[in-house]
Parts: sequence; C-alpha cells; structure tokens
Amino acid sequence: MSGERREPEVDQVLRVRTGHGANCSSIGSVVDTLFATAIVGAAVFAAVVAALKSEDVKVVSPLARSRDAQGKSGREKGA
Amino acid sequence: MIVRFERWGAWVKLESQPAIVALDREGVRALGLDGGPAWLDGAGVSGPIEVHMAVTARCGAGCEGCYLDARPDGVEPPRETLLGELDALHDAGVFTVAFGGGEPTTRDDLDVLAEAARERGITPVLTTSGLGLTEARLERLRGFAQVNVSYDGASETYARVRGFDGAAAAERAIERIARAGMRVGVNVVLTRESFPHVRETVARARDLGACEAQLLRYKPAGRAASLDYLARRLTLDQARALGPTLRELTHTLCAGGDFHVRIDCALVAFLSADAELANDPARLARFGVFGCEAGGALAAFTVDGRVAPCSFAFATDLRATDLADHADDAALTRWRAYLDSPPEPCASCSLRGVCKGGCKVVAAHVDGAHGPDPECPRVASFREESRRGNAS
Repeated sequence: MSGERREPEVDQVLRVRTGHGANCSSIGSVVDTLFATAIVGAAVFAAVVAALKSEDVKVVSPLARSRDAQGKSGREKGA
Repeated sequence: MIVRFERWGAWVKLESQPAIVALDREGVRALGLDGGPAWLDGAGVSGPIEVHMAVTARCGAGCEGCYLDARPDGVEPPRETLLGELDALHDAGVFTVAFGGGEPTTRDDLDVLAEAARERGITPVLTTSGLGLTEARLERLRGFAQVNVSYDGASETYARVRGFDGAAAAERAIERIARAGMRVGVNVVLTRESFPHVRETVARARDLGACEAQLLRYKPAGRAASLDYLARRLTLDQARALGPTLRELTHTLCAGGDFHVRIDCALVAFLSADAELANDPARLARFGVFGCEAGGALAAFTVDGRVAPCSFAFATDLRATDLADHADDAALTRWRAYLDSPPEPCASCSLRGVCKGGCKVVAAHVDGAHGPDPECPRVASFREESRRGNAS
C-alpha cells in the first residue's frame, strides 16, 4: 500500500462488468442493467464501491515479465 | 480482490461478488495503491482479462454449426500442456478462463484443471453441451464458478440450430447442475429460426434453474463457415429487433434481480438500431458492455496451443505459453488497431468505442475484409444509401 485506504468515489468507477460470463466462445456482457431503473443501477455501483473498500488486496503486474531482470512472474507481489 | 494496473487506472476483480471493475487512477489511489511503471508514459499494451481455452477438440455431438469443427476423434492436449497454459494466463494477469472445446466434460481431469486455475488466482468457468453428463462428470464441475449449457430452445428449435434434437439432454443438465448447487447459465445461439422463440427459450432456462442466459450471434467459423451461413444468420429485421427484445426479456424475466441476460460481443453492433441505447453509449460503457475485444480484453487459446484474437478467428503464430508477449504480436496488434481509424460508418457511430466495429469474423467471411460488420443495421443502411447514391 502506498497510502491510506478509503472508499473510491462512484464516479471513479469507470466500468462494472457483473457476472462470470461462462461462455467459452465469445465475451459476453450483462445487459439487463441497461434497462433497469436508476435506483437499481446505483445499487450496483454502491455494492461495488463498498466491496472495493473492504476486500483484501492482491496486486498483479503482468507488465513485469519483460521488466523483471530475475525473470520472476510479476503476479502477486503484494500491495 | 485482485488489482491489475493499467495505463488509465486498474482492472479490479472482486472476490465477494462476481464482478470486474475498471477504476480510474484516482479511484486506485483511494485504495492506497499506485500504478508505478504501468502509469508511466509508454507503458505496455493492456492484456486480456478473459481467455477462452479449448481443452479438447473431441466431441460426439456433431453440431452442424460447430465453430471448432470438433469430432469424436478430435485432439485432446495433455494435462501438462494445459497447466503450462494456465501458468501463462497467470503471468499475463488474466482474471477469467473459460474452458470449452469440443466437449470439455469428456476430459477426466476437469476438476484438476479448475483447481489449477484457482490456485493461480484465475476464475474458471465452463461451457458444455450437457450431453452425456454422468454423475462423475457432474461432480468434476464443482470447481467452476459457473457452468453454461448450450441450449438453443425446445426440441424443434434446438434441432434447427444444431441439426439434432439435444434439447431434452440439455434441459436435464441445466436442472441437475442447478440442483447440485452450482451456478448454471445457458448459451442461446440466435439464428433466424431460433430468434422468434428466444423469449420462451430464456424463460424455460430460468424455470429449470439457470441464473443467466447468454445470447450468442451465429458466426461463420468451423463448420458454420459455409454458404449455409447466409441462410442461417439473423435477418436484418431481426438484428434491428434485438434492442426491443432485450428490453422485453429484462422486464419480463429479470425483475427479481436473480436472473440476468447477457449478449455476446458480436451482438453489440445490433444495438446501433436501438435509438435509446445508441444515444447513450456512456451507459453501455459504464455497465461494462464489451463489443469486439478480440486481441484486447479477450484472447483465445486453440487446442494446438496457439493464441487467437478470439475463438472464431484464425490463430496467430504466438504460442499460448507466451501470452505475456501479446503486445508484440503483429496479428493481435492489427485486430486492436481497428478502432484507431475505422472507416465509415463506424467512424461516426456513437457506439464506436463500445462496439469496436462489430464482428470481424463475419466481415471476413461475408466481405472478405477486416472491416465494418456487414450485418450491423447501421452498416447495412449506410451501404444501401451509398448504392442508391451511386445509382442516381
């Protein structure tokens, strides 16, 4: 961690992709949220923001492969 | 949660709920994190967050439109090969792996592969036909976060899409997976014959215990890459009706919040015909709608261990085990580059940033070009107007 942790603002959340998307041939997106009321939509983002504040953090760094002189995976170096 | 830094902030995969979130840099800083090298000028190209892995080309179903051309004697990679590919997903920071084939449940080590994915911090999901789902095979599905069963409709509708009636077997599979306490969804392929029945198909799936229905566009790959494709694809009127159809499905089937409808990347182009959605691209983006992400947020691993932009596209020369080198691959770069300077009518389309030009696999098959999706209603109208202009 590089600083004190707080809850992100809702407008700092650029996108929310809900669901697991278990299709193996093309990437899918939940669309019923597009037609839901503003209250339902806001609830989706509120739940996400709350989870962002509370869940344990693991950081992965896929760019590390070419930059890590020791050739180690950059995954899960800790936050 | 797992945080993967990107130039614009970070992708975050939540653990307490099935969601992937894009946070801007300030949002990431709110978590007490800093992107470091990923936020410097010239940082690398964003890699896939989801990869579709063909774990076998073996399948006895013989679906007429199989995009992989799977057969009963198809190739099945050894477990060690797939474990190496899962390592590559781990190194590339991929969040989700979708196992498919072929029929993946023919493998007797599916549970081992699912566990291996989880050990690497990757969420495993799976697609199956549901045919031949024995008790042993059912138990091997427990490690997956969700299993989707291919279900295109009741018997006649199913048969018209796949060439045989596997609807009853698929329905039994949906029911059994749900009763076993696993999350189950359905994949519904939309052809001109299945589209009129989509509401009853999705309702039936929900009644059987599915938590989600993913609507898929019929695509010309594998055995479906034939002249017959033109007779099976959705009509232009059906493509234009997608938005209202989704609205109706949402209002009639999703009101309780415990059932969801998804569309695949290739269907996003059809939303250009829906004025309400086309006029609010920010809403689509904010709710995470992905159009053509081939070579970007999406990649596929072929059964012979190569990376493809998506499951329907030809494989590149990049080995699956070298996925972390995706940024240097010329073919993947070409797919990603479409959005930089697309031709009309994509260039002036309000959905351009979400749709990303529609399905290039369809464009290649129908037009012989890596260009705008010819079945997109907006593209079709543009071409019709151009023809009229040239004629007059």
